[in-house]
Amino acid sequence: MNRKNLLALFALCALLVAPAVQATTITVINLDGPNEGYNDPTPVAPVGGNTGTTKGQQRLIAVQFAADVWASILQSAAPIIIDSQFNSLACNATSAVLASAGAQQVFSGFTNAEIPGIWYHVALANKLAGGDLAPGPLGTTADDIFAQFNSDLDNPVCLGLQSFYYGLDNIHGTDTDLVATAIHEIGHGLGFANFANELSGTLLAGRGDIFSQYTLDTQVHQTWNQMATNAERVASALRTNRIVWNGRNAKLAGAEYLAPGTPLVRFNSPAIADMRVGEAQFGPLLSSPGVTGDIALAIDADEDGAGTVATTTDGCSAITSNVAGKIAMVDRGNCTFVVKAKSVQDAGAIGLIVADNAAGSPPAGMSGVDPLVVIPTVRITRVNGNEVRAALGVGTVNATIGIDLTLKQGLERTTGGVLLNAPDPATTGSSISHWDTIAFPNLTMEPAISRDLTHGADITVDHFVDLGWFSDFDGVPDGVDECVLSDTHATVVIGGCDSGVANTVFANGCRISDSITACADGAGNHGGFVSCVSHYTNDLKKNGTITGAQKGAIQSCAGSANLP
Amino acid sequence: MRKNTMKRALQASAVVLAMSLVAATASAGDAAPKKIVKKTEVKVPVGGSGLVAGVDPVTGQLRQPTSAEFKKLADALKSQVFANATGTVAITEFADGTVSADLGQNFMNMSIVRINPDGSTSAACVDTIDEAINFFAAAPTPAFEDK
Repeated sequence: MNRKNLLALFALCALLVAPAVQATTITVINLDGPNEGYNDPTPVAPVGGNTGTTKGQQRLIAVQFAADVWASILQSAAPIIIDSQFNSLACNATSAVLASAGAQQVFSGFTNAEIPGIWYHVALANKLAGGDLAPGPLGTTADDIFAQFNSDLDNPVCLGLQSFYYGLDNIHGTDTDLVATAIHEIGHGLGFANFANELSGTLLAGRGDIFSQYTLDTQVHQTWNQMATNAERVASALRTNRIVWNGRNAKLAGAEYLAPGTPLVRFNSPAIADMRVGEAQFGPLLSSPGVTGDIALAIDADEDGAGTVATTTDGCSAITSNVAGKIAMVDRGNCTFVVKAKSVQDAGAIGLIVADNAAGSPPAGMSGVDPLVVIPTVRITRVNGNEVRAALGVGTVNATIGIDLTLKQGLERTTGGVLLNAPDPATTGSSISHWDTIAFPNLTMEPAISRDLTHGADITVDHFVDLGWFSDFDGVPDGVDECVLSDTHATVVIGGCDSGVANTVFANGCRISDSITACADGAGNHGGFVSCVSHYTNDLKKNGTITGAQKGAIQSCAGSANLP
Repeated sequence: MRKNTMKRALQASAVVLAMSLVAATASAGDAAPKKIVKKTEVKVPVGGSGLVAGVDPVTGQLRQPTSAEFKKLADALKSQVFANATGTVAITEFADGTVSADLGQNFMNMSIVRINPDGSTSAACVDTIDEAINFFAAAPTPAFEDK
C-alpha cells in the first residue's frame, strides 16, 4: 500500500468518524508497586516535551506516548491493554536488558479470521473479531501485551553513563530513547513476531501463525506455514538475503520507502539469486554499474607443500590459472584479504570474490591497506561460495559486483519482498521476526534500536496492513488483497445513486465499486468518467458478471453522478 | 498503476470504512467464545542453562565465564526478565472452532545491548534466556576482518 495514501486515509477516517468512533485506544496499565518503576517519586525536570515531574511519571508518559503512536495508526473496536512494569532487569557495566514485550495470548479459528487454522496475536484477533476474545480482569494475562523496561538503566552501574531518555522529541544523544524502544517492543506484541522457533523449527502447538503466513523462503518458494517439516524451517532461518516478507502492502511500501543502491554480487547468467557481500576497506569503493565478467576460480601455488586443496585456492601466492579479464574467486584464509586481492590483480583479474571458509552470515567486511590494489573485492558466505562453485561445474558464470542502484536496500529482487533478518547462526526472536539489518533507512523493527529511528512506524504500518489490521472482511487475506480498503457497500453506489447491482468481490479482493472509483479518479471530466464506466460495465456483461439490465442501472447512476 | 488502484480504493472506501467503524465500535465488547471442549498444555522453550562462552572484561579475549558469572547472569534473567515464564502454554479449544493459547510471558521479545571492548555498542532482540546469555557473553562480531 502507498504509505502516503494509507496515512491520508487514516487522517480522513479520523476526521470523518471523530464524533462517533473512538479511535483505537492502547492503554498502558501501570503494574508497579508504590515508589518503584512507574511510581518512582524521584523529582525530575521536564525533558523533551515530557512534562512529568517525577521519574515515574515521565516513564509512564513516554511509554504511553509510544503506545499512542500505534493507536494513531491502528483501528480496532476492542481497546488494547498493555500490562507494564519498570523492573530491575539483568544488567551490569557492559550488558543490559533494555526491555521485553510480547503478546500474552494468541487465537485461531475465531470469527472473521482471514486465514483459518493459524495463530493471530490477541490484539489483532480482537480487532478482526470485533470485540474482546478474552475478557478478564485488568493486570492479568487476559490483557493483550506485557511489556517491561529496565529501571536500572538509570543507574551508573548499568551500562555506565548510558540511561533511558524520557523525552518525547527523539533528541536522545548517546542515551537510549525509551519511546523508540517501546514502539519496537509494542510492535512485537501487536503482530511483528512469529511463534515458530528458529532453532528447532517447531510451530506453537503445531499451528502456523499470521507472521509465518507471509514469511517466504525465496530459495524453496515456500512460506514458513507451508513448510512440511521443522527441519525445513531450521534450514530456512539461515538463508540470509533469501527470506522475505511477501505481503503485498509491505512490498509495495518498501519499494517506495527504502533507498536504492544495494551492494551485492548479481548473476547475469545462469540465474542465481543475488548474494550479500562484505565490502573491503582497500581498493576502490563498490560502485554502479560495477564490474561485470565471468567468474574464474583462482588457483595458486601449494604454499604448505602438503598438496592440500585448501592452499591452492586461497590466493595467497601467485595465481597459476587464467583469471585475466575475469572476476576471480578465492577462499578466505591463510593470508590477508589484501594479499589475495593483489595476487589475482597481478594475474589480470578485474575483481575478486572471497568465499568464506567458515559458516556464518551475513559476511563481515574486509580490512587492510594496499594502495596498489585497484580492483573491487567482495566477500560472500561459504554457502554462497559453494553455490558459485557448483554453477561453475556446469558452465560459465557471469556476474556483476558492485552497487545495484535498481535494487532498494532491504528488498529481494525476484519477489520484491522485504528482507527479513536471517543470520547464521540463527537467533530465536532476532531471526525472522525482524527486518533485515541491510534495510535503509533504518526501520523500527530491525533487531537493534538504531539511534537514527524516528518515532514513526515506517513500512511496519504496511506490514500490519498485510496482517489484517485494516481488513475489509471480503474473504481475501490482506497480504494478497489488491483492494485492502474496499468499498464494502452490498450494492454498487455511485455518487449516492444506488444501482441495486450486487457489489461483487473478485478473487483479487477488489469489488465493482473499486473499479468505478478508479474511473472517477482517472477521468478528466464527467464524459470521461461515464465512458470509462461504460467500457467497464460492458466488459462485466461480456464475462457474465452482470446482466444487461444491471449494466444499464450502473451506467445510469454513473451518468447522473456529479463525478469526477 | 498501484497508486491509482490504492487511491481509488481508499477514496471509495473512506466513508464506508467510517460507517463500518461506527458499527464496529457499537458492537465492541465481549467476543469471547463460551463453550470449552478441550484443554491441553504444550511445552515451549523460554531458556535453559547451556554452557556459554564469555569475554574477559580485562583482556577482551574469548573465554568460558566463571561459574559465578554465569550463575549471576542466568539467575538475573530467570528471576527478573523471565520471572513469569512457565515454559508451559495452555491451549483451549472452544465449541465454535476458536482455539486460544495463553502465552503468559513465555513469548517475550527482549531488547538487549552490550558495550564492546572498543566502546562500540551491539544490540539484539531475542526471546530466550540462552540467547540473551550467549549475546552478552559472545565476542563482538567484527565489522571488518583482515584475513
